[in-house]
Amino acid sequence: MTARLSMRTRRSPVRIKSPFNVLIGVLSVCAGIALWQYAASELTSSLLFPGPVKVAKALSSRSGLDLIGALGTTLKRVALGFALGSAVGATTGILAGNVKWLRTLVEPYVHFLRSIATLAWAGPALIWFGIGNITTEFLIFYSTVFIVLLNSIVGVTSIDEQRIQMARSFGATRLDVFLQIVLPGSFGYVLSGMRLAMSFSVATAISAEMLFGTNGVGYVIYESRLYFNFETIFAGLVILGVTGLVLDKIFTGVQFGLFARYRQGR
Amino acid sequence: MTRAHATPLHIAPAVGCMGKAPNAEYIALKDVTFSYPGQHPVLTDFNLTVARGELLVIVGESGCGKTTALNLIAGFESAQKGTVSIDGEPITGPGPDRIVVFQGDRSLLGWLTALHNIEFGLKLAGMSRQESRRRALEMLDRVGLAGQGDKYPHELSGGMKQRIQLARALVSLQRVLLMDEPFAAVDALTRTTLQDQLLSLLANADATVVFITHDIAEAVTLADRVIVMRRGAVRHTLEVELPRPRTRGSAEFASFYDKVERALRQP
Repeated sequence: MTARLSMRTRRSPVRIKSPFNVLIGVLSVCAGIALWQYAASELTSSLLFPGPVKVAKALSSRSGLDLIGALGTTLKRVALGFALGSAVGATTGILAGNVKWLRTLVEPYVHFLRSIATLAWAGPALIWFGIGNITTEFLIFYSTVFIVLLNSIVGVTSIDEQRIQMARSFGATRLDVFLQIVLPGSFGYVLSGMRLAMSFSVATAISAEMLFGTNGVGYVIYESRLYFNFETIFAGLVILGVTGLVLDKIFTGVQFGLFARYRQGR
Repeated sequence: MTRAHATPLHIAPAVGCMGKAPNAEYIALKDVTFSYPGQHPVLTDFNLTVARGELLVIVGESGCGKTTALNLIAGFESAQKGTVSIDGEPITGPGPDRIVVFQGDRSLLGWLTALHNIEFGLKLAGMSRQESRRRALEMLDRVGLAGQGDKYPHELSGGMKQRIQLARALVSLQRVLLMDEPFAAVDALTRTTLQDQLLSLLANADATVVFITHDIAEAVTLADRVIVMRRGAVRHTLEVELPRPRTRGSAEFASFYDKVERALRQP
């Protein structure tokens, strides 16, 4: 029988790329930087569109340090609003997924509220909560909660009926079914929702900082325009791009590595 | 009722050994009418009895009501009219005395290893960690998957997944095993292996089995009795008097195969 057991035994969730693909990736990044440098020095005024060399210099200077510090402030903000939004979204979503009438009650509001651009709430929120962290946290929370909530509902409702029947046939109570089938069965969907929500919540934090912030990366970038400090602006943009990339990589690692067994459809 | 030559299965002592119902009517569906909401009845005044220790195979075209009959015995559905009982007791819902083996592999839990999937029923029954682990490992070995216990379902082939499902059912088996086309999705060769494995695992076990299939050869291989269903009623009952172990290529096997096929084709 062992002859038939040699199928997919690879456990590693991280795809090992072939050397050829690694080469293409590296070349692509190098070419992009070269093109950027060319565009900055030859095609436009390098004052208004700084090239990678200038941006790198800015990053390694004082303003680079400031930006890193500001990034810390922004991420702390994001962490709190995102965590709260995820917790509330997942809890409500899992409950609503289980209880039909609750779902019917909640869904129209969720679809209505999530259709409103988060920043459109900045006005009332500023008046309610004042200029400061609470308003930003509220907006980050808002941009997270509905996505996680909707994904959690889908996670619960897409659980295969056969799994519930199976558990019940082994004598599972409703609580057993909830704890052993529904929770683990919807976890993958909750994670997908959170991953999606994370990029939204960072974007919301940056926008809020630009609109009425007093610190954070968004604030630094927006302030720098007043001084025509294009190097800092572009350094900030690079930091945002890299941060988004890294955060998503970390989350993907958690989602498909650590929690691979909860992946949707498994 | 010994079905094959193999060591006996560890089986929980059956509850209610001194059954109130006659052994010939261990499982009984009497004058059962069942319909899904807003649809024509799937079963109308349907009658079926399964003897204790019997391996009953139900064949019939899609939509004939065989899965509904099984779901009624499992307790997943309840009849609008008539009674469904086991050992004289009415069936009110699903329970561990009637373990179900499902079609396909969707009922295996993707977040549990093969071994933990097998242990699922034992843990629900409150068995200790060590004991359930020990029994699951033993059963894993008996279905021929020793050493594969730490794999997750998606890492296993279709045939292996069905073995895990079989192991999960058999390790918790008390009285009745309900199987709804359990081997339909695996290749023909694996299917016959699984059939032989099922028979040897059931040998000496005091289990009553209801098995649904579309595969006539599977029915002839496994059954003590084959019933043919059509449009919500039992149309034919065929006692399989072939000696065991049955040889799929034998003349008797072929002639009984013909008999079932003709019964299926009859209007």
